[in-house]
Amino acid sequence: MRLAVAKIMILNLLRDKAALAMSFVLPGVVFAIFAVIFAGASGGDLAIRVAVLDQRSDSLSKQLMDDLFRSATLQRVTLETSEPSDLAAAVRDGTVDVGLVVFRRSGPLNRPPLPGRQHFEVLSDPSKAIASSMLTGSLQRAYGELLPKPPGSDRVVVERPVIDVDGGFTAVSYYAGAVAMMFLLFSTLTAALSYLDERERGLLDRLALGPGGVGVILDGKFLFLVLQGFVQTAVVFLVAWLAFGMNLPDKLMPWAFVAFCSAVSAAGIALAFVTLCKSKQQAETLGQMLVLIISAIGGSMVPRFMMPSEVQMIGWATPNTWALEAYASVFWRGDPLAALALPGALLLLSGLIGLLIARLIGKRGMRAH
Amino acid sequence: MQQQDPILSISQLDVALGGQAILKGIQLTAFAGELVAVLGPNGAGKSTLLRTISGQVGSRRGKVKIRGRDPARSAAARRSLGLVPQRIALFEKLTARENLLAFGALMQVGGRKARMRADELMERVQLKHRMNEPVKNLSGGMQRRVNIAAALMHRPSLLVLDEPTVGLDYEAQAGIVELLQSLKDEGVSVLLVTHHLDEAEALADRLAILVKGRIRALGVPAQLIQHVFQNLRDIKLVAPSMSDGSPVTNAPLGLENLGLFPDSKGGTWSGVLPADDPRLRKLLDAVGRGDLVAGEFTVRRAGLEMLLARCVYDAEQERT
Repeated sequence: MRLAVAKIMILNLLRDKAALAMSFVLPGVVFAIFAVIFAGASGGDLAIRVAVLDQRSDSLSKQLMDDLFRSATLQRVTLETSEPSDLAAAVRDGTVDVGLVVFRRSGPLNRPPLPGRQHFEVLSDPSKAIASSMLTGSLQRAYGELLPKPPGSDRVVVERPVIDVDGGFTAVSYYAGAVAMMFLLFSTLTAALSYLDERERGLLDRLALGPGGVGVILDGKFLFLVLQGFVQTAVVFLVAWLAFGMNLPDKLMPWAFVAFCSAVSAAGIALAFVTLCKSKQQAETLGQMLVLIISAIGGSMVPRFMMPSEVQMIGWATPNTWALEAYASVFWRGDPLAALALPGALLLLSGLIGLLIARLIGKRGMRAH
Repeated sequence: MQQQDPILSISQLDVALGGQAILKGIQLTAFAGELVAVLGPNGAGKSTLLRTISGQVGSRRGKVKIRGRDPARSAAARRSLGLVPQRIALFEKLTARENLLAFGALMQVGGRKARMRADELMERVQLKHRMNEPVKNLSGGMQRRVNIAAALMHRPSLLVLDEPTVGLDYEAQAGIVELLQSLKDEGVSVLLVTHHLDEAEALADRLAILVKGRIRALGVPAQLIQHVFQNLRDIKLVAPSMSDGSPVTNAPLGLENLGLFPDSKGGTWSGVLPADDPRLRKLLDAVGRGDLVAGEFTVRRAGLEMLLARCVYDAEQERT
């Protein structure tokens, strides 16, 4: 009898292609994606992009740089500039993760730097603290190995943040955006499932009789999802402000713009996804996996600079990446509002395209259902 | 009644889903104040017919018009339609009244007018005392009544119902039959898909029997039966025996000689004979004299059950 029950379950599983894929294909795929992402985050495949301005360019500094970049963890990025300010700008706008200036007028490298000067300056982005720490550590080790008696001075390497993070911890600013975006995707997906529920219960047939048909139903759901998403994001940032001192009041308008665009994007994507799914059960299981993967690739779990460059590239296809870039503009880099135009436009566009797809599929689905 | 233009008019309708023909050459009309019942076995295409009428399934050929307009293209046509799906298509966490107001709003009935209409409908389906309770707390019969009321918020001229009494007890079923009768009396055109033959017989002005995507019979129920079976009588004998102990198959009476045949277990004998057939007279005499005894003996006019069975049989014959 027990065997009969087990046999029934095996037959059920074998005849359900979606369940089969979910049980035996998806776990492997998800593992592979997460392994690639988190192996990088734990240092396994970390490649920190470092821009170097070597003002000395003598044999010793060249040797030091060669030694420094022998490590696979550090990836040298060439910038055509002779100004530390350009290097700082590259760190600020995310072109590189960290900058390194080798000063000319700090005295010989094998001696302590002249008073008021330093040999090396690490230009850091506070949101990528691990990148500057790794560069500083690697630099000190290479410097110590190159020189038989390295000068013991705390002014040899100085770290200078190039981004003013006003009112609070960078980590909080990062995670507020990261968590808000991930939960935005989860909650919009859950709410959008009502569409499939209504379709399965025959409610949609009745609702779609209205003058606007199924399009109007999807528009109404879209409006609700945007509102819900905006309020949910507001709650996360309110906690970040009230409990962790993040400077929300001074950035209220640009924050609201990014939060709105993110909510539009999540709403459109969620609706397109559920209309593509055949059943509520399928949408629930696949959707949760999808949100986890998008969030991981998009930087909602670990900062993107800690991921392999290929994954970072893929990340640009996720709303999380654009939303986090926009939040970074608002809270870390203090960029002008114009800097929000591109991420904002892309987020809005993805949401509206999602709604359009949902409307098209919804209309066809109703007719074929 | 039928001098007016029909509220629903379906002509030469062919519908295919996934490359498979589901409806073939459907011709059907429904007039104001008329109830047309659609009967048919499972898989006959009844649900597809309803979905086509509500504009949710496109046709390969032919036309569907509600008040002269195509519901797949015209919002006005859809607005003339009230749809009652087979399942309880309500928001179960909302109260009955909130449901009605929500469906009213979707059909552009709002404000005070909607509130008054919702109250009036709640009264009409005898649920005013429960209208502020979430739908999930109501009994199956009550939910069915709210399901119908929700389709009436915008005063449709055509009400389409897909098995509105399925799973209900006799009392709840009677309440819905009464409601449909009153809607018909008010001039609403009603298209009722049902498996309950007694419900169809009690309510239908006309009847359509749909088998394998085709309408096999269409007309006034009594006339249809008369036309198909003329003066045939449906005869049934349960557990018959001869009073002298001889087998019921023996001459001179011999049930088989009278055109009656046993079921697979041999306990029930049945058959169909014209009312003026001498064999029927012989059978009645035998029972009257007490020569033939039976647990149950019925002779009745052929009814909807037989008509439906005949249509299914004809469709099968055509296929083979």
